[in-house]
Amino acid sequence: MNLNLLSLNRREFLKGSAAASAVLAMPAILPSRLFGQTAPSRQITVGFIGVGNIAQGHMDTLLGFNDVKILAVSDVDRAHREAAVRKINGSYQNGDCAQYGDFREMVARRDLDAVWVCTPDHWHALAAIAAIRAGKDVYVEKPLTLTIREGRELVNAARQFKRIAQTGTQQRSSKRFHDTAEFIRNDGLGKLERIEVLIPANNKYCGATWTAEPVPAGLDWDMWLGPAPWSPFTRQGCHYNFRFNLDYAAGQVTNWGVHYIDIAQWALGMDESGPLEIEGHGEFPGTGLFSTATKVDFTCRYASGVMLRCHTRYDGVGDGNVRFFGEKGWVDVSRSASTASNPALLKEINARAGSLKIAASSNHHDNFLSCIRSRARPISDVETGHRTTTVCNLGNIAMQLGRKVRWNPEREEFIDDPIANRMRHRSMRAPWSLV
Amino acid sequence: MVANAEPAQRPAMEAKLLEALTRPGVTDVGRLFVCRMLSLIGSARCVPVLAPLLANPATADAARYALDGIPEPAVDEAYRGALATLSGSAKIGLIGSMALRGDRQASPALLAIQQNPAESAEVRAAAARALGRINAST
Repeated sequence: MNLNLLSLNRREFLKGSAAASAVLAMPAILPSRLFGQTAPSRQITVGFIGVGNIAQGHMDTLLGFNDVKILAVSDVDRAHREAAVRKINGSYQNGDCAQYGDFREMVARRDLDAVWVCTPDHWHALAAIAAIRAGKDVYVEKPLTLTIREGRELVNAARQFKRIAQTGTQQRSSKRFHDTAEFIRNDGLGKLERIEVLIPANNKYCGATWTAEPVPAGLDWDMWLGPAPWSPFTRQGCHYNFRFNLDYAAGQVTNWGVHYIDIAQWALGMDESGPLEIEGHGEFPGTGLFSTATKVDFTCRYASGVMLRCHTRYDGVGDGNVRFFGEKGWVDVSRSASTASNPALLKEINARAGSLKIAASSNHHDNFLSCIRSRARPISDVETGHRTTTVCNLGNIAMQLGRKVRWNPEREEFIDDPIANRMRHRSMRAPWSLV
Repeated sequence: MVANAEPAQRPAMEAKLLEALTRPGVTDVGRLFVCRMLSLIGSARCVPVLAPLLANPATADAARYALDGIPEPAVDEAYRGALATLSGSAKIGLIGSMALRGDRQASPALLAIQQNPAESAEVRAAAARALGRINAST
């Protein structure tokens, strides 16, 4: 192995060692120049749709990759896109990064290979589908889409146009989660009985006292709303806080729940399927700006008989976790730790002795970039992202309806429940459409 | 919430919601709220009340909110009827709804729009996409 950092390219470096993975966890502080230059013709060219809060980490990471070049950003907030351009041009030490207020102009560029979709959730499907139709591969932040139908449309578009589509459920690229899921798939706990997913309580609150405000200069509010119903601007409902308005997102169920339900789906081998029954009893605000559940509690039953319960935690921990219960005890995994009813189970997880090996990735961004080159399916392929997001949406629908719903995961239809079926999709404000 | 009302209660709820839409002075916000409730429980009974709203660009979105999810031919008929009255953004939105509903009977009208040089490029492109979707589903 070549250990000369000045001549090693990023991909060779990635193959090398655990130390390499550790370094790549902090790529923003290790400029790609340390690894030598990649010929421009071999660079993957990238554009961003949405460069607010969640995009920052992606940009930092990609700016550390020498085989990636960020050429353009788009955002409806001028302040966001100007800050992004400053960051990108500062890193590249040039003035090349272009900025757009309308992502459609950006995705029309022929010189972009891939697009990162980092908008609020209600824009994910439309932005990603537009990029796919324009021939771009897409990395779509989680949750994949706002509604179940949007998710299916996005999967169909990716397949039709033969585009690589990675979902931002990056825990699949973490060894801790991977090994636990593989352990469960290999019946490491014996017969699996149930799964419990804990998600944080809402971290933002807004009561009934909010008022409409003038739209700040530089913010295209009509475009920010896009397909969502028209609503007056209020600062408390816009950046970040959109997560707690059902018109734009689905609350902590998709903000955090999607990460941990994703690991449960993986462990269950349900990447192209889902539960059969869902029942929930959430609490939703009756007044005020926010409308997503303040208390989440729903349970899914899978064909295997396994029950998955997702509910809000009230211990102040700002992370989720997923705990698997089986004949031999329980194992629990979160971003910070793995625990088990018996320490021997953790050793078994680390040993990876099971004969069934599931796909592995040590870096979510690199996995996507590698797949752009190989045209292989990424670790969080759009179908798996859609199926995981669907479980979240099924839970939200069941909680809103307050009754058990039955789901056909093959047809992606509720059984004998026309109202629930209507909740799979929402009409879009003109001129936006999934078609 | 109307969604978790008993099925037997829904017709009366629907009637009240439709009646609210016909009251003088109904606000844009109020109309949108009512139409979103109807999107969950609305039936073919919505069509006569909402068809006039479809024809008005200012209220077409709200009408589509209520009608898009109603699996009744009367809705498709109302959409085809509104197609000639709308233009611009509202027309593109309507065409998108027709495409998602897979209304095969809309194909001739959509083809005419696609081929009509008097229509805007955006409207013609929307018609082309809709035709592609509808034809692919046949």
